[in-house]
Amino acid sequence: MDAHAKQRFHEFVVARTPALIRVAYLLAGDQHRAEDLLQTALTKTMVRWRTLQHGDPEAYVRRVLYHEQVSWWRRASRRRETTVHQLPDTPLADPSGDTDLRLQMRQALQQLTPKQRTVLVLRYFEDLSETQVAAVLGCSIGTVRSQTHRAITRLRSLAPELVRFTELQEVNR
Amino acid sequence: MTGPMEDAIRAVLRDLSQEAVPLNLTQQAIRGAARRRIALTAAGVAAVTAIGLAAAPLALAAASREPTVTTTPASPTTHPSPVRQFDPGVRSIAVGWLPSPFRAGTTEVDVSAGSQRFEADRPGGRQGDGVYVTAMAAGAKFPTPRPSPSVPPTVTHAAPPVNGHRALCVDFAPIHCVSLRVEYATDAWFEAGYTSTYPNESPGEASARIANLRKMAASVRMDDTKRVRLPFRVRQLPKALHLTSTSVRWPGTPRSPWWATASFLDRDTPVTRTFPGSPSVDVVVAPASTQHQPSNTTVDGHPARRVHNTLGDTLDVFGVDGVDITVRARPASLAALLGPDGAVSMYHQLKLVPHPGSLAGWTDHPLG
Repeated sequence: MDAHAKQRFHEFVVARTPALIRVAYLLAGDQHRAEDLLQTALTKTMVRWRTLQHGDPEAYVRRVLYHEQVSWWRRASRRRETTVHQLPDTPLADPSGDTDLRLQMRQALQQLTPKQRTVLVLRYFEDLSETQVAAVLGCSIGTVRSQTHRAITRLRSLAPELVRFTELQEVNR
Repeated sequence: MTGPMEDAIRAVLRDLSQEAVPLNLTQQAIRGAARRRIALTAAGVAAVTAIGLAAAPLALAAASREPTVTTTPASPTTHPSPVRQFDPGVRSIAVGWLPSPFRAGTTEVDVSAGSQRFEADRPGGRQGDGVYVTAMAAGAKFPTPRPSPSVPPTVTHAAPPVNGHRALCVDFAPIHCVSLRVEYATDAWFEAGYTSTYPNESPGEASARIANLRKMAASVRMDDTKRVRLPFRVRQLPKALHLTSTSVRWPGTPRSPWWATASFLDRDTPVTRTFPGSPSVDVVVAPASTQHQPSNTTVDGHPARRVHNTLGDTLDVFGVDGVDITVRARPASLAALLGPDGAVSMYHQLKLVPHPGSLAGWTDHPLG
């Protein structure tokens, strides 16, 4: 890569990393894995930069993020770590409820399969339609629907604070 | 889905995403890409070696040849008065000689960056495996990667003059003279180089590469006035916009087909260096592809895909006279300048030339 292309890539990364690391964080569940995930996606992007810089490189980065996240899960399924079902320490209740909710949600998201988590991020963080999610992940709309349904059902059971928060939102409408 | 549960998930995801710590991963990506390229090269070398055992006589015959000279003899180099800004509709660079087997490919004129770029690709190869000439307007500096302890700095040192003009070699350790810079007019430089680097080249290969660079640089003229030709015309450009860059790749390859792009910006926005994703209205025309995102609407009876949100307005119209047309405006404030229906209004101002897949019909007056 020559200096001109390198500079353009640098500018792209500097400008878009704050947004992309958030998506990676939601997909991966922690900062270190998010950095690894984004790093992998950017490396793949850079290899194809000469072509991508004239199109929409961010769309490509995001697509790689989603696919890497799902394929990591496939690779990791043989050496899956033991899931801790309970937090080691019970946090004190937060009067606002927000901290409890966030902690529960983070914990709950960790316990979803990467595919379920990816579907949730695409549907509710990226605000893509079911058809768009299916196109991005290369699966059927039916798969997207069933994964979304399972993910939400699992979240309900794993994060009771989310249910309480939802009820509160309903009351405040 | 807009039920309370979905809204709650949205809110919590937004909240959680704020925990991510922003950081700059550029240098790691560059190092990662270099490692990946080396790994791919090693795999390629292994594969070629295996094939080479079967085809050794032919391979040896090819390897023994010197890099050959193609086509036109070097044109006399003229050096006009330096310009402070290029016209994005005019190509000033003319390259009289290219190392074999490269052939002219991409031309990019980017007024925002104060640069013009010419690329030549290896026929049948991937894009990015070729040679280039990038010319900067007078006073404009070549972009330089930010210094980092993990990436070796580029070092320039004096080289023998080219056509009597000051020249500099650019080293990117460990590669000597990865590109050659020539001062074509006072305080105005162009750079000639290879788009791929060859960290494992032998001294003989390095000498041949540098000799090719010097010969190519000596054939560069900066006084051409050829207008950039595009496969479309914008019948009525919104008054607030002006052309900032054009980029054409022709001919393409099966791996990387041809494209033609024109970019616009509103007159109130200062023209600064652009990068992908920066504010711009882009019109891109490329051969129709079957591997595109699913359509979600139709425009004038053609399947199309439109994504219109706070980030901007992107419209892809598929299979129009054998090409796909994209109108992309970012951010939304810029899209609003395109007309009452944003990207669709701009699309309706476009007129393709007859047979856009044939260069012969392209127009050198794309505006009006």
